Amino acid sequence: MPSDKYSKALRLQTRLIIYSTLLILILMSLVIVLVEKSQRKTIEDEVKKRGVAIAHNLASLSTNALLTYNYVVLEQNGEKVALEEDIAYIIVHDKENRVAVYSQHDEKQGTILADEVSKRAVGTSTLLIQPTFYGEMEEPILDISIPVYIKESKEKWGTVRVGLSLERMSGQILKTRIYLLLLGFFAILFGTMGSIFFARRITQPISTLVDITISAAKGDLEQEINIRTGDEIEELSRNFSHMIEQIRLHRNELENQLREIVSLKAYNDNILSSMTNGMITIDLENRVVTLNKMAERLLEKRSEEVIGFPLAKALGPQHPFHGMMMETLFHAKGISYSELKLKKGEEILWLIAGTSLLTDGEGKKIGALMVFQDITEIKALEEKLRRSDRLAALGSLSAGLAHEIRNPLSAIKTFVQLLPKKSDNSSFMEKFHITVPREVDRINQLVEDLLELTRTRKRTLVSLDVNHLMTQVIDLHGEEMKKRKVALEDHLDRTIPQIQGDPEQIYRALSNLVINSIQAMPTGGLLSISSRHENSKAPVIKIIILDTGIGMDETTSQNLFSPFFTTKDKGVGLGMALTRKIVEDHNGTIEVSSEKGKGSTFVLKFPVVRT
Amino acid sequence: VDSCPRRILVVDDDHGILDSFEVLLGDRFDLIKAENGADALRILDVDPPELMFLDIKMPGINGIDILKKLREDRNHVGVVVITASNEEGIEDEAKSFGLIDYLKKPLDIFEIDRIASHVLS
Repeated sequence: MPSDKYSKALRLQTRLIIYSTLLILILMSLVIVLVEKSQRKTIEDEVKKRGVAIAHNLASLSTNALLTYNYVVLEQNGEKVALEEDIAYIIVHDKENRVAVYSQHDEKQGTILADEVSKRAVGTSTLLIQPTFYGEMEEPILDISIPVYIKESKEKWGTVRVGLSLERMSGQILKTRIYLLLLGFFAILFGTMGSIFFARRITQPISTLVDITISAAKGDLEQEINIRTGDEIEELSRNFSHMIEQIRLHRNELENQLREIVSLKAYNDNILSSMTNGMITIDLENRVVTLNKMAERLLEKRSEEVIGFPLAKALGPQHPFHGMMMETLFHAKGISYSELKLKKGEEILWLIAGTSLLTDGEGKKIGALMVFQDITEIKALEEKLRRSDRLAALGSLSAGLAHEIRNPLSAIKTFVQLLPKKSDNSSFMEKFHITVPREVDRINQLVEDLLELTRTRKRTLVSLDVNHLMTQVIDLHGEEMKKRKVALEDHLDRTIPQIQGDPEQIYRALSNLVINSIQAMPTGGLLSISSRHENSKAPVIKIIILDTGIGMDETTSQNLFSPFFTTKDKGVGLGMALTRKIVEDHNGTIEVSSEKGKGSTFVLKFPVVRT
Repeated sequence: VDSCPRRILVVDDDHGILDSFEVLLGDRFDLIKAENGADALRILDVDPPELMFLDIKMPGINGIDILKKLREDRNHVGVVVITASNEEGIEDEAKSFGLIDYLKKPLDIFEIDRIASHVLS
């Protein structure tokens, strides 16, 4: 969090001041201690040197007097020296260590001093300097003792002692110390002030930078950084400025992308909600990701109840959508559109639904999508259409039936109407007896065919040879063909296998086709019959009946197998419809191709059941 | 009274119909029967009748085709259409060629008689 970094910057300044002040303090203390020590030593050395000089001088002055025990001279010399500055006392001991001179202490003359300093002083054979205290005030002094020898003799003739007062020296040292302390104080004072000044100078641009970073962190990237310190801080601020600029550019780019994404999402949402199809998507965990408005309506669920929940929970595990989606994810393959029946309260909802697999840019599956549409109305329309289709078919069947019945009826009517008048006419009566029963039979045959067409009869299946049946049919119509000048081409393959079927029915189908072909050639032509065995994966017997007759237009050939389909040319009656029924009852197929004026070709296929 | 009987052509692919005309008109008129359009056209060309009973629905050349041919040839033979069909379209089209009559099967002998006698009187 960017807050309160400013106080840290302040602390940085304080720290700088404290550290530099401490550094100055330590350095100054060190300097003061060293200077004081050296000064003190110098002063002490000087004092000592002077004391030793005085002592030597007195000793040389006193040598002769000591040799001669001339106490007066000794005293005079001693008192004279004792008057010099800083001299606390002058003591001269004779050869026997008795006090010969003791400045300002004449009463001690002739005594032997028993204190430790005096003992050591008279006992020394070289220069001895002892720090000690003197007088009632116990002032610090140096006792400088010099033994007195005469030349070329090792016999000691006495000891000269000078008590050198250190009071003045202490004063000097004290003064030096005061100077040094004052110096130290001012040095620390100015040093601290200087450090405050420099710390400020250093931390000021950093504070500015910190301020900028705080507002940058809060989102204000539009600021100019103007720090001209000419050092690393300027470089830092320059880099930071560059960084902010980069961030600003990136942010702008991101903002633009975000705007695009938002508008794209709005666009997509719009499409989804405007779709007249229902749409659901799920992820790999079967959780619903998307549910559009139409899906909400058709499934009567609100998206809040569904989105994020497993599909089985949202719609119920028995819901057909669940199974379809599972299958899609499992096989990683969409399911093509199929019709579904859903119960919606009392009503039935017909849907057409299909799924597809959802994949990412790299083709990895990420879920499944289902699109569905309400086809309830279409279904109702279809039902209506089927009903009207059935009625239309019934109408055309009736029309055809009427046509087929009226011809024989007309003939019967004529003969019956003429009967009263011509019952005596034997020629008429002969024709009557031929024609009327024949025409009645025709009507009866029509009724039979009609019944046959609608009957679902149990067939008696036996192994049969199609070639044999075909030959029988051709034989039966041989005369007719001869009469009509129809030539026969026989391409029957005698090696074809037998098929399973009802021989009577197959005979009838073949017969119908042959008659149809012969009738299509009123002025003669060619009838070609062939059979062959097609031994493929599903082996079949193929029978082809080809004529070079009048042919049919496309409408006629397309409707040829509809019962009583009629054109201006000819009502086809029930024969062809019956033929198709027989073929299909035997799991076979029948196809016709025809060209008007050139002829027709019928192709029948019957499956061969391998035994 | 003409010495030779008047010529009538019946065109129908139904043998029952042809047989009916035979017994009805055969002994009074010179009745020629054609069981398809091609035969009919040949007869119309070679030996034109004075009256023709014509079926419409026939394989190959049908009744309408024959009516068209007659118009093309400016052949003004009297035509009576005999049909088992109920289709109005066919009736309208046939009548547009100018017919003596348009009869629906089953035919009535008195109607046929009347027309034949009237036309050929």
